[in-house]
Amino acid sequence: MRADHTIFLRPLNAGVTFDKTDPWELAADPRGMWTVQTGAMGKQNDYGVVSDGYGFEDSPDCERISGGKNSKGPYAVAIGRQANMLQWGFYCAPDRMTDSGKSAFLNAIVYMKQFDGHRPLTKKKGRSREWYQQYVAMVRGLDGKYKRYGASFRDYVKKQFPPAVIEKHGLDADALESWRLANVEYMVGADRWKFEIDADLKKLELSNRKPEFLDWLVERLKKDPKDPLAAKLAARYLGKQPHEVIPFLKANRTWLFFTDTGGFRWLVDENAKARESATAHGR
Amino acid sequence: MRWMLGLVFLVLIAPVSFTGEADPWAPHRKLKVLYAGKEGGSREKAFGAFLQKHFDTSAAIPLGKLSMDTAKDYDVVIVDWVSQYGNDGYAKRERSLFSSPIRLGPEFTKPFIAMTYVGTQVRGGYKLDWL
Repeated sequence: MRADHTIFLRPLNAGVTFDKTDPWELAADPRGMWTVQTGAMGKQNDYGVVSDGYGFEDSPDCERISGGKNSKGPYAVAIGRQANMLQWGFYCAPDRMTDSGKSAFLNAIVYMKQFDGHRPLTKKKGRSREWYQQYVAMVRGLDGKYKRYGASFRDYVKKQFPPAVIEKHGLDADALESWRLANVEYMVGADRWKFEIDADLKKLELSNRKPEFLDWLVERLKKDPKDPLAAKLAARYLGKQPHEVIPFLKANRTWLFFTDTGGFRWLVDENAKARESATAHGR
Repeated sequence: MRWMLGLVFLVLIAPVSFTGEADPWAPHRKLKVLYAGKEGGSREKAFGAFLQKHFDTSAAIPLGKLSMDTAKDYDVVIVDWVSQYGNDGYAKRERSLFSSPIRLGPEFTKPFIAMTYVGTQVRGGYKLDWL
């Protein structure tokens, strides 16, 4: 939870306090939990919603503000924003919010006004590679906090890694973490749920999500406008033909960001681009 | 001239409480807030009382009528619906009404706060979805 976020501080001090009397076994925040609403769950108030927190902030229109007690894990997003929409994932209406919850909610209304005209930059097309942190943590917990989920959970965790990796390392958490760190910059979505390692990137030792990738493309295409490897990677990560790459980067580089969840692509922050264009034209 | 001085005096003291501390909420009362939810529902009543207490201008419309046009006079919209599971203990059980009647595409650019699961339905497929 970002207790220093504006919605907890301004204009009203929401007086966020943390309670440690009802610890949540999956909580990653040692401070405890903020009480947002009152009433017994499932009787006086209903279940809310959380969204996938891994890779949530890989586009500049998103910010994770708070998690919540849930079945998806400590990084899931209960309160978060994408562009002009803020999700308040807790169920209760104001008549069952705590005073602190009410103040934060009022602050959220004030906070959101500034996002008038913003559009979401990307749809959710798949999982982020950050999920591998969770998978390794799951492996570590197989004989601990996840033990009660039994053999089916063990199988589920195993299937999240490429078969060759499991064949080589088994469920050795340290070895799997070393594999993750060695390959994380070359990961790409194989489908909505699974990942693969981009062999071209690994051979080049080139991250697909760092600006050096764009520099590499420009350099290669300047030398040879039809460079087949540059063409392949430009299509994969920019969705551009080789002749489009340099003009596209020249026009948009300032606003580019890489998103895993948006399809393992470099995209343009159209909100920032429009804002800066309006400022430049005195609008 | 005298009424003008009086006006200036009022403006200067308006956001200050009797304790002498500035009321941090006072400048924000002028925000215009629209609630779009279940017409006549228990949550509409709860939000209505809350918004009227904190904002000078607020209103409620059925969620199905929310659009850029119906929201044009407001700064922020609260997008809400009814209990998804019917577990909320409100007097009227609303379990059969768990699906939002509209979707808000990217062309809906008015700032809004989506309550509980409603965002996953009105703007499903984006990053604040349940998957």
